[in-house]
This record gives sequence, C-alpha cells and structure tokens, in this order.
Amino acid sequence: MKISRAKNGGRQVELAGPESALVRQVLESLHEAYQTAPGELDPMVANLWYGRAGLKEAGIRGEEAIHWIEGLHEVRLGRQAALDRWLKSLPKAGQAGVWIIPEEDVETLVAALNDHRLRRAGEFDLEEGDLEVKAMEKSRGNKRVALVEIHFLAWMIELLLQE
Amino acid sequence: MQGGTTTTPEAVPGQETDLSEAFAKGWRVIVWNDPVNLMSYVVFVFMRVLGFNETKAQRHMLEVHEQGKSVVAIETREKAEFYCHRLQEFGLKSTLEAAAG
Repeated sequence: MKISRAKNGGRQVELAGPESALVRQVLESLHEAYQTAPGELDPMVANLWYGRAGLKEAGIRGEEAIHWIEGLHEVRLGRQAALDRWLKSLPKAGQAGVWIIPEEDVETLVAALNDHRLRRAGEFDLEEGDLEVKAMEKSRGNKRVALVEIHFLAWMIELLLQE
Repeated sequence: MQGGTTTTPEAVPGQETDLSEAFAKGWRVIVWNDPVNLMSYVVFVFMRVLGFNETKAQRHMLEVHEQGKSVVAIETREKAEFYCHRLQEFGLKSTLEAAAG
C-alpha cells in the first residue's frame, strides 16, 4: 500500500489485490454495522461506539441519555453515504489499483477505519498486550484475522494522516 | 403590544444556581486512555474537534497515554457536552465532570 496526496488535495491510495479485497471487506462490514441499532450490537462493540460511561455521573439520564446515544448512531448512519461512494470507487474485488479519496472524505474515512479497529478489538475483548505484533503472530483463527485487520488499518490510518 | 395580565416568574429555589452552573465554565471534558486508538489518531481528533495546534494536541495525547486521562477543555455545560459528544463520534472515550469549586 502506498498513499500520496492527489492532485486535487485528496488522497491517492495504491492497493495490491489482497489489500483492496481487505479494504472492501472492511467497508462492507462497517456498512452493515453502522445500520445496526446500538442495542442490537455486540455489547462490547456497543460499549466502544455507544458507551454510556460517565453519562449518569454527568446528569445525563433517561431521555437525555437516549438522545445522546441516538446522536452518536446518527453520525455513524451519516457515514454510510461515504461508504457507498468508496465501495464504488475502490478497485474491483481482489484487484490491484488506485483508489482516490476526495479531500472532504479523508476525515470521515479515517474515523470509519478507526471505528472498525475499535469494533474488532471489542469483539475479541482485546487489551494492550493483545495488540502487540508478537501477540498477533501467536494468535490463531478469527482472533488472528481481527488482529491482522487492526494492524493493517493502523498502517493505513498512519499513512492517511501523514499526507 | 397585546394587552393582558403579565406574570412575573417567581423565583424557584435552586433555579438560579442551575442557570449559573450552566453558563459558568464549570464543566471538564476528560479523555481517557484506551488501548486501541492510535496516538496519531488522537492528536488528529484533538486538532479537528478542539481546535488545538499540533503541540497542544501532542501534549494532551501524551497526558492521556501516560497518566490515563487528560482534561482537554473546561467549558460551559453546553459547550462541554458538544465537545464530549464530538470526541465520542470519533471513538474517543470521553466524559463530562463538574469542576470542583
């Protein structure tokens, strides 16, 4: 993967075949997860995306707390239009190619990729030690897949922010 | 102007305190450490949401990383809620707390 600044100020993302397949899979699963109501998500994921920690202590209770969580869900629902655009502009499944991200989409893309990292970490209740590269090498099965995605997206976010 | 009876609102005990609390910069926005968010991402979010320059954003990010939390804003209730919500929209663990005194 190589990311550079596009002529129009956006980002030009050069992806190898397996990388574009992985990004597509991430975007598709995010699309579905964003549509899911907070109460229907995996509780660990819901806690990371729609956590209620500190609301009660700040006096945000009842209807106000519901409104707070709904607001967070609306923001994520609002990212779906961008996800649709990116899925259309991404190289075809498994094919290498160049993916152009318009400047106005960069912030949303970074936030969405970060959401996927949080989600995968939540699904496996990953802690600091689990996120070390050595731990990824030792992990197996679905947990290993989740860790590969988390590390790949970390690299992608770093490159997007550097440019 | 329409005629009619005007009613002067009666003072409600506690209301004055509530209003002054709401408008005073008496609410802290706290960001808590978590193992997943990247340091560079946290800096980026602080710059975007709170308008910090890079140096200030880095300082607060390191405070979160090393001390477990950082007070990133002390604001009126409304503004503190806005910042706290925005930080959560970006996946950061943030809470509100009344500033003591």
